[in-house]
Amino acid sequence: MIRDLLWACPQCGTERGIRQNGRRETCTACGTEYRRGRGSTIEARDARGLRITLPATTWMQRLPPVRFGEGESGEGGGGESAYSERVQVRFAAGVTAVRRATELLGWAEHFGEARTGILTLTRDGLAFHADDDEVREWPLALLTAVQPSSSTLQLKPRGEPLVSLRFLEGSARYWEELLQLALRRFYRRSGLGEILEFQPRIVAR
Amino acid sequence: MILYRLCQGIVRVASPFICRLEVRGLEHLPRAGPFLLVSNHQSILDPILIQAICPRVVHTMAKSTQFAAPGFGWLMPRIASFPVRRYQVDPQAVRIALRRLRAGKPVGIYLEGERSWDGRLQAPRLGAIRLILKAGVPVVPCTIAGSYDVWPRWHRSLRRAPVRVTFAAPLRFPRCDERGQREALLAQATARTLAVLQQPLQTALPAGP
Repeated sequence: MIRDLLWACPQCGTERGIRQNGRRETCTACGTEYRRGRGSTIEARDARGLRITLPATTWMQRLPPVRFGEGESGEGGGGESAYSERVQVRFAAGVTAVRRATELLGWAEHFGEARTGILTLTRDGLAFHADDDEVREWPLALLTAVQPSSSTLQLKPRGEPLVSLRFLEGSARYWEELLQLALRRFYRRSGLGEILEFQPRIVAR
Repeated sequence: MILYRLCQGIVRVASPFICRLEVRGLEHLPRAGPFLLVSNHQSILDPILIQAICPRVVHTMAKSTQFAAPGFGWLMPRIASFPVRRYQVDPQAVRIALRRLRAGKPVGIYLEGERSWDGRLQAPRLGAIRLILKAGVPVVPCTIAGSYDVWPRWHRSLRRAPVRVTFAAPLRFPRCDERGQREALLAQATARTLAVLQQPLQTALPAGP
């Protein structure tokens, strides 16, 4: 999805503005329509019909930096809701041994049924409110890894199975950066140091 | 490895329909003995094209969740892939990689650990560099350019475009059995490998599909 790449509209700057509308991806604020052009170019057609085609990399350079909590409800808000997005969540239901003949090659996680709901990121943690009212919470202190995988984001909470998040309307790439930013701030604020690596696991010094 | 060779043949026949493939530096691939094929990752096509091009069977590290997908779980081990759990240090993946190398086989890894969103070279996973230093075998940098234009991560369909795969002359790093040795060489090995991988990305691809 183009919205995974362009998490803000490069034309008007509206964050999380590009939404899918049938086969089109359109900015809900300025009406600019985005579609893939030749190769890895993206064509933007504004509300007046003016077309601009640029390489995806050039569009990305026009994005504002990802911000977390700067002057928004998440900063100093004592864990108030800051960012929410509709997601489909899957929990790893177990691991399967991967073998070739008699040799053990490793293990692969298999995921359980998908559940939809709202994911909320605050300054202290993530919460998932499922449509069936079940709530799951993951304090930032308990996250050991944040891992993008195709168009999903995977979290590894300590002592819990791997969690896979698919963003139904938003951008996985944006949420990866947002979560990394939130974790960096949390680690600094809690005196846990500067995060050096997010993968394969969070390492701070 | 009959299935591997069969898939290789199918991709070689089908690849002209999806890209105009140009291969450079094939002579740098050792004809015998172990080596690590270290590549950038622009598209889902990269492992398919690289394995189709390399004359020898390349044992490739792939994300573990792929092995749980229907069909793939059966296919992947049969085409010389082995899983790595990317959200934790995975000693079994390292063990398999080293076992293949000690058996004199080539092993393929993707330095960035995932596909690039914008086609540019990303920061490497340090675990991949640590593996290079632990193995102490020749490292063949492989740069794939243009596969991003064919099938970028942010789109669901393919568009025909030129793709160039460049194999560089093997880099040699000392085998570091001790963790301290590896950590001391980490920055230098990272910089050397990235510099060689980056070079072909600065040369423009031919225009047109």
